[in-house]
Parts: sequence; structure tokens; C-alpha cells
Amino acid sequence: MRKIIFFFIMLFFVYSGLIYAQNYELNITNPNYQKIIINVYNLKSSNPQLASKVKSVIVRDLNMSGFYQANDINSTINNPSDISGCNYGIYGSVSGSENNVVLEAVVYDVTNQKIVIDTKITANNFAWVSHKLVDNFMLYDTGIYGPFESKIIFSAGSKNVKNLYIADFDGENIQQITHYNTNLLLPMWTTDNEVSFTAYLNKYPSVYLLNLSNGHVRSLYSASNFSENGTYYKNGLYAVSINKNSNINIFLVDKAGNIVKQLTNNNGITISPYFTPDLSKMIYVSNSEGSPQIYSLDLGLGVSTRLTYNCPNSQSPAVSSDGTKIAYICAGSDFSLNVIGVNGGNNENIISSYYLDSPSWSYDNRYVAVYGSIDSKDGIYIINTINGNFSLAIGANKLYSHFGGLDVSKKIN
Amino acid sequence: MNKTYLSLAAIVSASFLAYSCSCTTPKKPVAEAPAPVKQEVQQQAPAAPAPVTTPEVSEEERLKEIFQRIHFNFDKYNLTHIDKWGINQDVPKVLDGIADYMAKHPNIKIKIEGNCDERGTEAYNLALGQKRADAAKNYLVMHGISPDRIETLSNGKLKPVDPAHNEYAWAKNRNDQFVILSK
Repeated sequence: MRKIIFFFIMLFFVYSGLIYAQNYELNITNPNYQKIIINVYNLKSSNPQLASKVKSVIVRDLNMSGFYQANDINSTINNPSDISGCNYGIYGSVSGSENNVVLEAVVYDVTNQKIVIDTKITANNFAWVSHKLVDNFMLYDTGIYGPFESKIIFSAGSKNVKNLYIADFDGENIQQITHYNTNLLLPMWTTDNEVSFTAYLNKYPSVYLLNLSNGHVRSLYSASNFSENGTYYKNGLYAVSINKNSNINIFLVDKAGNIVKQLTNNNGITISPYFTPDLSKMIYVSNSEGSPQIYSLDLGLGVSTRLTYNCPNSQSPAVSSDGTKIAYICAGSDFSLNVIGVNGGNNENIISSYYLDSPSWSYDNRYVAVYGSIDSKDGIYIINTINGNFSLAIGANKLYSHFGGLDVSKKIN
Repeated sequence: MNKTYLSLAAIVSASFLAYSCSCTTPKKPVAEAPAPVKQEVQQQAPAAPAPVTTPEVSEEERLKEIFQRIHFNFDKYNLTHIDKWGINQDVPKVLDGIADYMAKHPNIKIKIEGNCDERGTEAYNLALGQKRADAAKNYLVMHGISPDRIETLSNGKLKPVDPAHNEYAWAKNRNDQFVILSK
């Protein structure tokens, strides 16, 4: 009898332990990995083709966010109480024309049985109304406005010829903006209306500026057989990596191509300048200690600090727009996208793959766009740094099988 | 008469044999040149068009040997003996040969193009290619060649010799190529 009682007592403890273990496991699981399910219903319209395009971008953006699983439901909704089997439902109507699209959308919270967004959005193209709706929904759901109202400038083409293209953050609305017969690489937004790039337009790789309004291209610096990067600083000044006396260092150059100041003075390679938003620091790459690592130069004190120690080949730093984080590429036999604090430390590996390059943060500081090869597919990827989910925004195709750099713009109003 | 024909035939045969031997004589093996790497020289603006004759081909081959690509270790631009991943090359010795030839041919001008493997970012490899080209130029200048006779250019990783994605291909792709601009 005692043995039986002992057996039941032990069984109770084991069962309690299992229950506790299950609770504990639930507590430590990042809720972001559990994707929220959203049903997107057909949008009513006298122009069903336009409505279909708006809907498909809504679905695409929601899925690309890495937080949501959007289901494309091929039916309309008249009464929100008909929505079931999901956390949220999106429905509404589209009117206007291709150049003046009006989206009237409702987002219904199924769990709490209430309408959480009821909005009317107007834009000059179908994708932009969708971006705005998703960004607003992300603000409601996560407390942070979404990243989709921005543009990516990227270099793409063949092995020998790459030109510049601009697309929406999610890869929609791709437009080719240069038509050269050579390699244009490492594009960067300098202002809303201007980009810099490095190209072999003349004899050597040099930095150029492209005015997006009139298409005018001009050399930023040509008094060396090597210059790359054209990172905007302030007051018409750019940080450029220039070869002088067989050492590549970073200089401030004005629009007329005059060197105003030398910012680094290292032996070897010092490149990839990136300024913090308050312009107090310049983040850059240098191999002055043997292998390429990320450094921070305090522009007030003139003191440099090494930030990376976890990777033998740390390259291509990009500072988040809130100035708190740096994304960089750990290169080698495999490549990884890492994130560290702006003062170093808290190194976090976000994703590893065969090849990754040119990380650039979204304005909401949660996503990084990179180009590279993930799961054997080449293209531009949007990576959610909160949960590591990623989506292919622009895949390699016949027009562009090779990429040569990218940069994400600030939020476009 | 028969004797005359026989003598003539013998002379012709001997000449033919001698000619054949001179054409098929194996070239002196270049100890420092890695066997799997195809050496090549690009020539821009040759001095004068000349009929294709045996001595000209020979000169071409000699230039290929002298101005062979030099190789580098991963992420390096120092000039050293390379013995890895199918490359076996005494890089300073190759550069000594180039310096000697340029010293004896004061009109020759060259361009050194620095190349990288694909295991780095676009921006870093562009810079690395420049450092590799400059390293070879500085060596030649140290050995008495005027810097005015040498241009340098970085191709980054844009011009791989071998498009494969393995250590052997990457080793081949880490190189300086010498382009003869004028003779």
C-alpha cells in the first residue's frame, strides 16, 4: 500500500514538473516568432485589376514584415462579423485611377471583435497606398510605424555591366535610372534628390554624383587612380575613400572635388565611412591592425575605437537611423549579417549565408536590406532583425543576374 | 644521280627534323609558375604590325612568361612565395624578372590590374585590388623602374580568372595581371 502511495506521489511530482516546464517554455518564447494571421479580402472596385494590384501589395508587405502571415482570400466582406480563422481581417474598396489611387480600408480585430483601423489613403500609385496601409497597421500592432514608405537604390546587371535602379522598399516599382556600358557600384543616397556611386566611367574607379531630377552625372573626385564611397556628411561635404601614396584613407571632399580634411591616416585600407545621425561619430572599416574591422571615430575628439572582435573580416558597416545599432557583414568562407551596438558590444548574428553585402537599415530601425545569396537564390533581401525572418524583395533575373550594392532611403512623405 | 637525290633528301629531312625539333622543344619550365594557372599577357597598342614569324611568336611567349600574373594569399597584398591551393609561385622572383626586362626595354609601359576572389564585400575588394596593384608597382619602382611607366587599376572581384566557387578558383583569382601598354 505504501509503495502504491509513493508511486502516486512521484507521479504527481513528475506531472507537476512537466506542467511547469511547459509554462516556462511558453514564457521564454519570443512572441514575434508566432506570426499573426491576417486575412486580406478582395477590395471592391469598378476597376478590379487595380484593386487586385493593391491587394497583392498589401499581402506582399505584410508577409515581408516577418511578423505576419497574410492570407490572400478570394472573396469580399460585407459584414466584419463574417471574418474568422485569423487574428485580423482587412477589407475595403479601391477607386480612382492608376495615377490617383484611393484606398478605403478597414482592419478588423477578430479576437476583440472591433474595427481598429478605418482609413482613406490616397497616393499616385497603387503600391504606395498599400505601403501606407501596412505601415499604419504595423504602428497599431507593434507601436512602431512600418518601413515600406522608402526606396532602395541598387546596382544590378551582368558581370561586366551594372546600372542603377530604384525600387520601393518591398521591391515594387523597379525603375532603371542609368544606362551605361560599364560597372556602376556602391550607390548611396546623399540627399532626397541625389545619389553617389562608384564607377569605371573613366579610366579608374571614381566617385560620381547623380542628380535624380535632371539625370545629370558628375565626378565628385577624380584626382586619384582610386576612390570609392560617397557618403554625405553635411554642408555639401562628402566622405570619400581615396588612394593617396598607396594608402587608402577617408577624406572630406566638397562638391567641387577639393579635399577639405583628411579624416583617417592609416596604413593599408580604410574605407566605408558612415556617419551617426547626430554626426558625432564616423563608423568605418580599416585593416590597420591586420584584418578588416569596424571602427568608430569620435569626430569631436579625433579618437578612434575598434568596435568588432568577433569576426576576422568585418566589413560594410551601416548605422541605424536612430543611431543605436550598426549592421555589418562578417565575410569569409561564409557570410553573416551581424548587429552590434553603436559603441560596440552586444554582437548578434542575424543570419548566415553563402554571400551577403551592402547592409542598409530601414528608417524604422527594425529591418536591414542586403543583397546576396540565401538558400541558393540571388537577390535583394529584407531581413527582420528582431526575429531573423527574411524575404526576397528583388530576385535575380535575366535583366540583372549580378548585384553591386544598395542603399535604403529615409521615409518618403 | 641517285646519290645526289639521296643526299638532297637527307639534307631536306635533316633540315625538316631540325626545324620540327626547334618548334616542339619544350619551353624551359618556369619553376615559380603554378601549373594549373593559365598565364597570359594582354597587349594594348602593339608597336607595329608584323608578319607572323617564328621569332615573333617566341617573343610573345617570352613576354607571357615574364609578365605572368602574380598571386596573393587571402586578404593579403604582401609579395611573397605562394604555395597553396594549386599555386606555387615565388612572387618577388617574378617581379625581379619584370624589373629586369623593363630596365632593358626603357620604352615599355605597363598597367598592373589588381584582382580579388569573391570572399569579400564589393567595397573592400575594390580597395584590396588597388593595394595589390600598388604593391607590385612599388616593388618595381624600388628596383629602379620609373613610376611614370606603371599604371595601376583595381578590378576588385569583377574579373575572375576562374568562375568556380572553391579554394582553388579563389587562389587563382587573387592576382595582379600585367598589361603591356606600349613597347
